Amino acid sequence: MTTLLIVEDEIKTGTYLKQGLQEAGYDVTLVNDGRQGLEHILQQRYDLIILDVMLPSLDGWDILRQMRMARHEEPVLFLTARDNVSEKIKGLDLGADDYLLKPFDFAELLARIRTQLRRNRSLASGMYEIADLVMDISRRSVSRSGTKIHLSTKEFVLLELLLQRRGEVLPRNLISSLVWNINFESDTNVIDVAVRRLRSKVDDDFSPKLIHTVRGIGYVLEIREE
Amino acid sequence: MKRNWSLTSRLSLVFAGVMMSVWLLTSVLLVAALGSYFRSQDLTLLTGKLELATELLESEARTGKLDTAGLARKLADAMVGHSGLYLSIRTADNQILADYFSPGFPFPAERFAGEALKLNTLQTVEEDGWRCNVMIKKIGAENAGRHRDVLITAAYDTGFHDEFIGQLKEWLMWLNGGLIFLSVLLGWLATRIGLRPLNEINRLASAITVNNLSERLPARYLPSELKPTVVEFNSMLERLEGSFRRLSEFSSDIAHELRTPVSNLMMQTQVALSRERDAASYREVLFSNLEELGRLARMSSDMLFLAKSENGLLALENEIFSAKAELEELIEFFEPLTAENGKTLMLEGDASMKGDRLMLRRALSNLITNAIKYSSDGAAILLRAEQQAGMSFVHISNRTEAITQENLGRLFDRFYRGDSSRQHNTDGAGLGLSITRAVVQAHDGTLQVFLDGDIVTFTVKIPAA
Repeated sequence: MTTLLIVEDEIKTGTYLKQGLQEAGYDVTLVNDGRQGLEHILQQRYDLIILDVMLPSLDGWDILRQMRMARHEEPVLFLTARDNVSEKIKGLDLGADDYLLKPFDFAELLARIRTQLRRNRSLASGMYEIADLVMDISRRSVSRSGTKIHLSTKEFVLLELLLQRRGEVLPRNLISSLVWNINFESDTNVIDVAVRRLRSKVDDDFSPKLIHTVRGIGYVLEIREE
Repeated sequence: MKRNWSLTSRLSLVFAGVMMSVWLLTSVLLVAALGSYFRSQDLTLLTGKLELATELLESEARTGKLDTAGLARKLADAMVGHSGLYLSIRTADNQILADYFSPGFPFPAERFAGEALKLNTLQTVEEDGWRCNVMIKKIGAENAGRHRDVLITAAYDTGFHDEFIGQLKEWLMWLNGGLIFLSVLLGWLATRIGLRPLNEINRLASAITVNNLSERLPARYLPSELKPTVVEFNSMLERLEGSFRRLSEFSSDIAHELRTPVSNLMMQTQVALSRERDAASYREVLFSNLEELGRLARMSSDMLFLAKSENGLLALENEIFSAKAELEELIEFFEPLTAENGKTLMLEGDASMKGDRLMLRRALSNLITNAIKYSSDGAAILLRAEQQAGMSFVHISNRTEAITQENLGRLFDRFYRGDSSRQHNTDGAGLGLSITRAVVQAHDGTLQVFLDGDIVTFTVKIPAA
């Protein structure tokens, strides 16, 4: 089981984070204090550490510095309400680390955690198959039950993303960032429209339905019990 | 060390200085003029006396026998009534033939003997604190009836004149001293009176606070030197008032904008909790809450972005990229949306842009979003990039019914939405254009809007690469 450590002094945030991540299938330890957090890190191996930047007794940056000095190379995900983090992350030059600005979508957090954990695993498979859907990346072809489906370039990339992360709920801004390289929220429902159009090609005439809307969160590709 | 002299002391001192110089100069000139006047009077007097003595000598000589006693008597007769005068007739080897001292002439006559003095010029001789003007004339031996040349000397004691000038000098000194004092006082008074408008301005300016920023200083009755200052001051007040008004409007807008989602959240949650419900209803409430919360989160991050840009805290990357490539990507992004409601995005031209690509993309994307949202159905939206005179332009134009001359000016107001219906779910917080403008301005550019009939054009202009 994947082990996560959360160091977060805000009780409510910590509790909900822990609950959410446990329900997502992780083994989660929650600590409310910086010094305690560092002790945990130095004593035990975690797969990923989630650090609040502002902490009592020892802040997130100090924890990171000290654990790196002790040759603990676990990936770290920072949570912060202040948005001057990106500069600092660059300054640290520790590619393993990422950050999320509060408030963030929980789905986004899950996606980032998965990205961090996946970092060293290669994904180079040229073929995806789920139910009767077959996607061949190298030949740029998609078919269901042997029927060829014509997709535009971006629809193809979108489907590839959903397949790559099947079972994961992908929030809209993650989709727009990964497919269109648009890193800010658009005032429009363009992602919904794009997914709807993809769905009409991939799902409308076929069964089972594969692309599902998770209300208020995003989209997921999976086989669901009907 | 540099001292901060007050304007009053500076002006008083300068005034006093000028007055002083004028008076001193006047006094010096007066004394000099008087001296030269006295001298010319002496010259006339002495020349006359020399003429007289010459005539006496020559007429005596013509008799063939020079009677020195008679000459002295005639000389005394001619000079009687003059004071401070001396006249002598002597041979070149200093044998005195005749001389005359008027009573009280204090000078030793030997002083005029010898070759020390020049002929025919007025000279001043000094001895023991006495001064006198002397003139000597030479008469040829044949005219004087002697074997040798004869010298006639006339001297005039300048004691009276010197005393008069000395007294004048003393008197002028006292006058000047008094005038210094008086002119400092007058300068101070004049400055006080002259600077009165300035004090008035100070008084008015110090009365201006946040509560009466709308007050202006009256420029009409002011001296022309102060007018530009006051006009500038007033226009500064104008700007301040504007900024302050926008700021307080912004704060109240924020409060107002927060109130709606917060009130929705409270109401929905309270209603949901007021009695037992099935899971589906709870889910519905949570979903609805999530929407409101999402709006709040968006609003706070947008406002943070604006606050940062206003304080110049945006960290800008500096990339060079093609406007065409950027717009093509955005067209691709919006393609599902435009395809669905039958609008088309058309692209023309190209320009080389320099700046933070992601931020400019956000700015352009906001403009395209607006164009899609507020254009008429089935409309064509034209994106045109061009480069000229060192500037890169992106024009985004479309037909619209939502934008009119009336609301054109309000477009850039924060929280302003083109449609008053406020359908929140598809609408942003109304900060899109503010953010776009902030990004463009952070790139030293401008964002402008033009309305020509029913065609609205937004133009982004930034320095080209």
